[in-house]
Amino acid sequence: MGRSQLTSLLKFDLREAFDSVAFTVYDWFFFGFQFFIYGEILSKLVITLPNYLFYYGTGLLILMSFNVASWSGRRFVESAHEGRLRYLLSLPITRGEMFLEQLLIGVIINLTRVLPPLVVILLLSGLYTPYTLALSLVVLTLCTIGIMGLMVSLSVIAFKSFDIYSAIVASLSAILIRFSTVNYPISSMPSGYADASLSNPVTYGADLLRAAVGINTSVLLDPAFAATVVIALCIGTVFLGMFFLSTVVEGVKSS
Amino acid sequence: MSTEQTVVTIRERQAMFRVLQVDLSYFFRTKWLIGTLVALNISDMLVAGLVYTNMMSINYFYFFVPGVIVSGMFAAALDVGRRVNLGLNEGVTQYYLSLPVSLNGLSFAHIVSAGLGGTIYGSILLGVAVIFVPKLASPITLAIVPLFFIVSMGLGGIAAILNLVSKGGDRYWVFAQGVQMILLGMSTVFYPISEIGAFFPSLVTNAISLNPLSQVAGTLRNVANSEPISLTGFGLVFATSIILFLVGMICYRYVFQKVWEVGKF
Amino acid sequence: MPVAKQSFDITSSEISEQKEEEFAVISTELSKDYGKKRALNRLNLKIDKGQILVLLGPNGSGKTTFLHLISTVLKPTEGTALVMGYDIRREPLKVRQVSAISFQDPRGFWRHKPAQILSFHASMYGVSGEERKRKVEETLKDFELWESRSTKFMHLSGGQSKRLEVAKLFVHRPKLAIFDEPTTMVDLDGKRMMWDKIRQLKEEGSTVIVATNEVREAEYLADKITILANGEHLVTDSLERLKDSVKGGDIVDLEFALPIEDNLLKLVQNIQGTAESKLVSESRLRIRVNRSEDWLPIMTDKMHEVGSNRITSIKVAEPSLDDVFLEYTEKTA
Repeated sequence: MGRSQLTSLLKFDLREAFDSVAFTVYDWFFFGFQFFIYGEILSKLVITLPNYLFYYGTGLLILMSFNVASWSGRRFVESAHEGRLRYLLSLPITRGEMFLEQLLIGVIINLTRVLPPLVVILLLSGLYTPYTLALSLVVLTLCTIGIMGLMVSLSVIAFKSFDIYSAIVASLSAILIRFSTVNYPISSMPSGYADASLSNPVTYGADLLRAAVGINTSVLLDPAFAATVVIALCIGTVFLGMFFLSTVVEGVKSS
Repeated sequence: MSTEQTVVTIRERQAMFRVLQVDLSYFFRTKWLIGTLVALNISDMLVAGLVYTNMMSINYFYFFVPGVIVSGMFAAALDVGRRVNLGLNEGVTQYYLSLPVSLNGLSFAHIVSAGLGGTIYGSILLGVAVIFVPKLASPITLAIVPLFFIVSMGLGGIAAILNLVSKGGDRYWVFAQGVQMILLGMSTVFYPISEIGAFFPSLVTNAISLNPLSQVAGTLRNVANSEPISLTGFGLVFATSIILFLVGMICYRYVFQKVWEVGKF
Repeated sequence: MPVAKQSFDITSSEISEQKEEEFAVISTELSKDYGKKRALNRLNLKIDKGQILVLLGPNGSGKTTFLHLISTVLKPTEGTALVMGYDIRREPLKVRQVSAISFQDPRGFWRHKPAQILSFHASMYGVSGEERKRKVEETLKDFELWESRSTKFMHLSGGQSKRLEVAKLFVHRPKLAIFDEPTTMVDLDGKRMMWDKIRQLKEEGSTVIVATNEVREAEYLADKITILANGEHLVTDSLERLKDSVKGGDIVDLEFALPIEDNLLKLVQNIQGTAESKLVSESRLRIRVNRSEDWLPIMTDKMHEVGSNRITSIKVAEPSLDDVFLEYTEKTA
């Protein structure tokens, strides 16, 4: 009975997620504008890194995945406040299945959003092969799961208040995105920043994606080590999310 | 004016003020949330600005800080406008229509609240930026605050247009992000006009330099570099904002009229 | 007025002889705290299978909290409950497989349409294929939602969204159906229709729990009524016995052929079960008694013995459930 219910829930949520294409189109527009205008102009200003445009473009893909993961957490908080969560909690599925469904939704939405921009980057950089495409998608999926596990875990702690969650996510994105190699390599950072970035898993996700695509390989961290960190992040945050969801989560206060 | 009319006017002003307060309180609802947002912008200045400076031929930090202030002001003004969007969805607008305030008064209050939101947030960022760019600690900087208000009022007008276009739905946020990206991207907020000129045809380059956001960022840079500020730029910003304000008034009026007539938008 | 709480609480007397399997819900010391506030305090309650139990209580009495606890939406702070034999702490999934809840305020799926919502709900309880389609259509029609089946939830009226919330439980008919204020926001015709459907659910074998603060709803539906106040369980009993439990709840109007004299008044006042007596006119007397069916035979015997004044009319009025409700809840207040 469990699998069919999971499928039902997944279908139901996906229908809602894709009901409005505005967000997906916005993401593509965001990428197009940032890559073709902002990135292009910025790459002319950057003199220390050749091909900065593609470095920047792959960073945008990580940023898009980060946004989808944040959205998943936010959606979870919203569902608690809108009364949807308590309904889901009353349905005959386990909390673990519920968490898994959340992850799957995030992964599917993210893949839909990052696929076209990824193909654009691979084609324009001349690095497109089925292998680089598949490998890049795997890395982006791992990154999404890792960040999403973290965001859903946070949302479980903070879902009593939107403001707390917003502040945590805003602070986290400030730290995780800025102190990472999403937009610039370790070699260009002042030493303190470089140390902070090296302890940030997003750095490893971004560099692993670039290694999968084959961009600026000389300034990247060791791909094997990066892959280990990303996989560890994934497993760690998924367990964390599972743990929080099965032990902490309950419907919002009622009279 | 009869006593009765005077009372009505005073009541309407009070109601408008309350609407404005509610709009603003949505954005500035908790000190620590604003603190977090400000910290986010500071981290932009101090991390992205400094790292990019290491990667570029120009001192990008001094160029970037005014850009962050302008983009923060922009985001704040549109976010206050989002309160109207939520109000349309949550039935708050219907409540406002039951208050002693005219449709014009309600529209005006919403646009002014966006204007004030942008001004307050932009001023906070400007105050913080003075620490990193000491030359901004100039009496001329005070003249920039009214400029923020004028631009933010125009942005309040844009928020009204977005509310009309998004039909009160979730798309407001998407449209707001899109407009923000286009208006900031097609300006000199984040990159110098020389690079833009090399990338776009001259017609587009001219339009970008006339963008009010370019003008505000340019004014801030002029102050930071102890250069004279352009009064023509001020005039341009003023004219554009007035037009956007008027268009915004028409849009909100239409939206509220619709809510009044059919109960929803 | 003293309240004979325990003597009418059949959960503590008669039920003790029943076996565990005969109960749909057995809560043991079930408690829930929201921060420092205790919303439900050590609730011990047994709910018979195949019956409609109405939970009656003022706002904030803990009705919704109790329903959320037994449907595993909330976690108990202390104590536990068995729902159809499954422990809400140790076997929450099994609890959810045999029960379903219709929430007080219908929210959550703003952009979905009634047909989608019901279809999804049915699929979650294993109703599939053609049967699901048929059940959804039938339920939409039964609950007068067929016309608005393709309208987004957010555009439904308050009454329609409430009907949809209740209708969810009719597409799969759970063994334990829980309704939290099922007819608020619904018009009178709608209420009648929904009450009939809920009773039908019971007739088809489900156990039903209905939380309400609407006395008329309780009177219409209840096999048994549980009254909660301030998170405490006050009483559980049938409507009849609850009415009887109100001391001085029955009102007897006696009309005499001649003016009432003092000795006759004293005689009436001394009859066992008289709570209060009052002269309405010189020949009419209003007496509040505990149980009119016990009191009246004694009174007529005494009158017969005295024989000085003839009774020309006797009128008896029972207490309403409102009186019962107020009697119990005012005591705790």
